[in-house]
Amino acid sequence: MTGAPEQRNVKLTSSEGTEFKVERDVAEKSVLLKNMLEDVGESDMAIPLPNVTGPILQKVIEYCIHHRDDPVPAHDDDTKKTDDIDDWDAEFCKVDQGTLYELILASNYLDIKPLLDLTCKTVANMIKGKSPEEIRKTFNIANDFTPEEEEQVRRENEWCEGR
Amino acid sequence: MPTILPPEILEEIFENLDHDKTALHSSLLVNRSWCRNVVPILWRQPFRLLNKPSVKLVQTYIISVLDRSSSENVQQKMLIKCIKDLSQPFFNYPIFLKNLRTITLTQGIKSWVQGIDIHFDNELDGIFFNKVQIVCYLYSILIKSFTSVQTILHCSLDHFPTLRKHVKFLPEYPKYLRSLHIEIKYDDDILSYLTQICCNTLEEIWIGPLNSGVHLNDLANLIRLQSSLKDFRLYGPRCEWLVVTIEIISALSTRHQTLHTIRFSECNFPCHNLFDYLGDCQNLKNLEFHNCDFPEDQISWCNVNFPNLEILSFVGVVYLDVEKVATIIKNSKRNLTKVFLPCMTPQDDLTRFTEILVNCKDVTCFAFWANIDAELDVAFCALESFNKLECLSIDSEDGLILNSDQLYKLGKVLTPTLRHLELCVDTSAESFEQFLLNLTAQLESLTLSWCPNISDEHIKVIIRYARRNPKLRYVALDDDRSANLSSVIRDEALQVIPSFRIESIDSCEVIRAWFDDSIYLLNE
Repeated sequence: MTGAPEQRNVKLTSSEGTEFKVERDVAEKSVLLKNMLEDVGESDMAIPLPNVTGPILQKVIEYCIHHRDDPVPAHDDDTKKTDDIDDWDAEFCKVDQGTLYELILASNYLDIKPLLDLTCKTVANMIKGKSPEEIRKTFNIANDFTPEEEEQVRRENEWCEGR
Repeated sequence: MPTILPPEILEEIFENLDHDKTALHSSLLVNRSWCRNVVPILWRQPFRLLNKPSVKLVQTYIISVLDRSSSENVQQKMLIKCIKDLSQPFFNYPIFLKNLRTITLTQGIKSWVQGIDIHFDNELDGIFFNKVQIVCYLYSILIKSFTSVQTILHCSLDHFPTLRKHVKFLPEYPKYLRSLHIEIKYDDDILSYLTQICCNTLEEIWIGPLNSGVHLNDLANLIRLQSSLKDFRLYGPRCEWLVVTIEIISALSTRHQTLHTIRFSECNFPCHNLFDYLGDCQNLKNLEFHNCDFPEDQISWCNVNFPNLEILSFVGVVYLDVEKVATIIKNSKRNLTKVFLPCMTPQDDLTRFTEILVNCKDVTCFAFWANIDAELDVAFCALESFNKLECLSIDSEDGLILNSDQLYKLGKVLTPTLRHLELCVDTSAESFEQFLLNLTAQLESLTLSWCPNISDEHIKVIIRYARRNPKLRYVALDDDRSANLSSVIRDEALQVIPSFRIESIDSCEVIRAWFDDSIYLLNE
């Protein structure tokens, strides 16, 4: 057959077995899927994603569709910035904390660097300006330091206290 | 729902906060897991995060390196006596350091030593005779503990000459050293030491800006050792050329496979065959000479080309052989984006200059010096086809100043892509306003260097332009020529233009700031 290559759909299955159909270029935003598709070649088989639930996969696909035409990100910049999130991305990240964590894990597993960067930046922004206790509360984290340990860590790192 | 994120994800999150010491400090006190992930990030560049000496930082370093079990080390035993709390630290903090600033370290140690209670006449008899010796001792043991250091920003101190002998790492280190920057005082000792231990991992060697002229004795040997040297910069003392011998140039040419940047500033080259050597560096992307002096006899230069060149700069260079410059540009034009020409006149004709202009039409930054009106005419004709131009600087060795007619002609040929403009004009406020009204570009910065007769009226014109064009963020005027401006107009300008500066303008610095997109930070 000749002519322009037809954009084929790729089938993905979430952990509960829900099937999602996406266009190949959207799926290829994930380096994991891109490599799989290159290895497997043409196939109608659905790709199982046992680590990703349906609602999260839906969100990931939404992100990849919105960013399908973005250029491939260049090498890691030395200085990461947390204030360069555009409006669409900021809105996309307005989810409950559990969803945000699952998006981080999914983007890490699927190897979608821009989504991983975005979600990690969002968490970083939630840390900024908070005291240790406020951070623990925000992220529901238990303090496993003994009071003596906490005091020692504080003392050893006193140089960076305050502004 | 996951409540715990794996360490690699936590690391990814904290990397976003690596410039925010307050957020990192709060994070490390959250729990043990967060602490383990934050400490390596926080402690890799504490000198940079603080930007000032810190006794508390040095205190933690010192308690990390003191050997509490050693009964033989009398110096350490003495120091242990001076420290109140000696609990074993949670981490071996020095091993995380990547970015060392020796001046901040020294000043921190000095303040720490000043704060300890010590009497030299009895208890320290025969071990330390004064506090300077303690500073030197601590400096030497701390330096040895920084085993992962990648960047050294080194500045030797006048009042601690003995410290210069103490920059010694463990024999097998520093094996990760990538960048060596020496500031203010040239220090042969660190160069000869690194040469002696065969340090061959450097990718960057930056020397200067120096505060006085020196002999660059050990530099060539260190350069020759490097197998992956990419970026070499040498800045001499301002207004006092630093003599760069052929040994340095020939050493650089041996690194031709890896070098991509060579930048000289305030340097003098007595060697006639400079470009014969530099011509070997075919992978060069940036070749820059700022305020440099070349030998008069440049006949022996071969016709070099740098196929990968992106930046060619001769800012502030007077009377470099125009034919050679034209050849470099012609042979290297494929990737050139920024070209800063040396002074071209006196020339019998302007053929070479015209040829250069033709070969530069795709650049984004362009600077030239015009000494005669004919040069300006030729340049204005050519600038019409500079469709990608973002930065333009027109300067002069002999004080050529654009008059109203010339400014009008310039305004007609500038492209809408222009963002930064530096020039020297002498026109009425009306002509200047007409020029700005005709501009299709929206300037972000405007530098008016050496403009005579700048009045409040001119500033009003600029203010009106800034009101029409909110992109204008930086305007600089030379302080020598702006003494007549009223304080009312200065204040008004400051309200409309975030960076309105009246200061001594160095064209080199302006252009360098364009390179780095840091014009707004200039002189801050």
